[in-house]
Amino acid sequence: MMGLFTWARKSSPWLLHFNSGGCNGCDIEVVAALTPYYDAERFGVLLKGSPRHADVLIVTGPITRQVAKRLIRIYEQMPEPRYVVAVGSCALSGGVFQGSYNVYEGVDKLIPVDVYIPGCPPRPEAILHGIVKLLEKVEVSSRGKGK
Amino acid sequence: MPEIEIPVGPQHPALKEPIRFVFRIDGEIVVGAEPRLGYAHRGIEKLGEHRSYVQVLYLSERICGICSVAHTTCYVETAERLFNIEIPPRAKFIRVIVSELNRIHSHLLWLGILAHEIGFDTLFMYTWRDRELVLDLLEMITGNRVLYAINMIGGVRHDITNEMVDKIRKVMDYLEERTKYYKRVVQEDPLMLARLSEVGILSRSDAQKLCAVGPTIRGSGVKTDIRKEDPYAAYDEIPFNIITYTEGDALAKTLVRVDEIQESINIIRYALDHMPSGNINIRVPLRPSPGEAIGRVEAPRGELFYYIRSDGSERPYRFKVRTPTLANIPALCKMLEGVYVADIPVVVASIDPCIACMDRVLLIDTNKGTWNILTGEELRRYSKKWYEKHKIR
Amino acid sequence: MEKENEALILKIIKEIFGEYFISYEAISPNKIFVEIKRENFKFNIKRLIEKLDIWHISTITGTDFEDSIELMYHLWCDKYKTLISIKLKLPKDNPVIESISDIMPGAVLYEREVYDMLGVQFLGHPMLEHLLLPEDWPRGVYPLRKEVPLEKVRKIMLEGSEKNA
Repeated sequence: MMGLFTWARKSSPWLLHFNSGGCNGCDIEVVAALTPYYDAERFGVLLKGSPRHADVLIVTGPITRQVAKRLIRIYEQMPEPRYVVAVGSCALSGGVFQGSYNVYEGVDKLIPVDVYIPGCPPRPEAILHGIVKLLEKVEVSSRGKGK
Repeated sequence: MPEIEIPVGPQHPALKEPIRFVFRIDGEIVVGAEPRLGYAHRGIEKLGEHRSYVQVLYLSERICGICSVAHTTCYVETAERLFNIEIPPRAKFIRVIVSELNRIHSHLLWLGILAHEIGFDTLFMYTWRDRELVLDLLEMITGNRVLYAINMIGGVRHDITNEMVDKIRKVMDYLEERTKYYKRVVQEDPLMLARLSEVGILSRSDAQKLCAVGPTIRGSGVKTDIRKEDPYAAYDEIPFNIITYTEGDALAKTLVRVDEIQESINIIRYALDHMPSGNINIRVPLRPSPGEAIGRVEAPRGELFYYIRSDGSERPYRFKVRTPTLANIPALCKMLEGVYVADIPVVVASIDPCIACMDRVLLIDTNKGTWNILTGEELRRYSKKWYEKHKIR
Repeated sequence: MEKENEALILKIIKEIFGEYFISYEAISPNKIFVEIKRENFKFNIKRLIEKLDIWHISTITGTDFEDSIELMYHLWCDKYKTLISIKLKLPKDNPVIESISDIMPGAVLYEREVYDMLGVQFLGHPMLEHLLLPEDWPRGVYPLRKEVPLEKVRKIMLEGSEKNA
């Protein structure tokens, strides 16, 4: 675990948070996860504004038609290696909005997803757990690249 | 010729992008604003016609994760009228307590977001830390932090035990002190005053003409609150004050919300002192008889309006929801006219919008004929720099 | 007190709408439904708003009833603490009515929403275009109309978006 902390602090993965039309329930728990109360910064993760600097895209919400193109464009603007975390039932599968005429049913209908964090909304601890899982995945793959 | 002109958006190539707000500017001043809603349009009303009454309850809670219980309360109030049932008195009091805890969490959340908008991140951290205590109480009562699922058609699903009552009182005492501190900060901190005072003024007559709701209209001196004028749950049995301020600026709207936290604390204490005993819910039939009903609730953001029509089947024939943020959009557009571009984040935040509405904005300079797309983050940074240069310290 | 208010409001409504008044129902002491004929609508509603000092409209609800579209204007009368919902029916093949956005500017987005979801034309509205639906939504498809099945619209949208992507 210490190796993971060291790696994370050295590489400082930058997170970009994107709401795709959700109720904001997941968003407030993502933000809560990043406040000192839950202290995500000990993992070295930082919230950033621009796709061009982000390593990790965190997506909440059921992906309405109006935001779908923007989501794809943000993903395309992120430099590789890039990772996507889908947070909450809506981002996983459309949640309670499945079947609606204006939503896609899950982020992975549009872009590849690396980690799924279920919940409606997931607690900040669950979100952090998901981010740690992502960092483990990233660390394993970057070891091979000598990052 | 309309008296209040809502500006018409141009056919602009940049609008192929999902822009959330279009601002027409002249140099540093906003001359017109047009929100582009719809990126959070999930087709809820149509879905409501294809779900059972219980399923629609779960759908309603997910319209807004911040106001959550306001939505379910409004839904069950409407449905209970449709089903023609009277819920037990204890359930009404529990609805009030959970609703007021939700109001406190929402106002603290908002105060933190406002602080973040103006770069006052310590205040953001304090308010969100204090908010965690409220979320702990909600989790204690309902089992959830955000979407509580406390309401059911016929009452509430969880009771408040005596042990819980003690914990709630302790947190209320603590929050009362914190609220006094937040009020002092808002009224005395030079940064807050510079960014909020006389910014985004909404006159009393405009507020009424444009049918604004909630703290937005109460900050313009209009004494209106659904809990008093059209009471639901147990609000007709609980004394409290409607908070108004007359200046109509962002500072007034902020003080309305801070004072409302204190009122919520008072309401919760009174409700705990006067809680009736008895059942917390009753059984209801599977379907209501044909008919229609309306529910109105004072959500943290203002009037929430529900209409349900039943044709006697298991599913609503029509399910209509009007959220408070939509009601405040015309007033917001009015408030934005004539403000500095640097004030846009604060003026928008002052209506407590329930949407991620500042993600991406289009600024069109009507004088120079140029345009620029900014993210919310870029606009925020511009505003901070502008204020450092022009107004404070 | 509420009964007195109810009787008083009913009297005023009958006076103002006259021959255009159809029926009245109180679903609770402070929430009433009044059905009126669609003719002379703007003139009548303006008189009602002035007579009862109404400054707040909660929203406008549109409902599809196969052969007609019903509109409900939910007006809050603060003077008598009563919600008055004015109902009228528009023919399905010609759902047109005068906009009230010049007498009640707060109604401007509610009319746009009913246009978007049900295809009602509000004459004189300053900006009658999509409020919630995307700009590339197919013309003439109004999601809240009963003849538009959910699955079919969903299919149209997904196919359309693939073409544009």
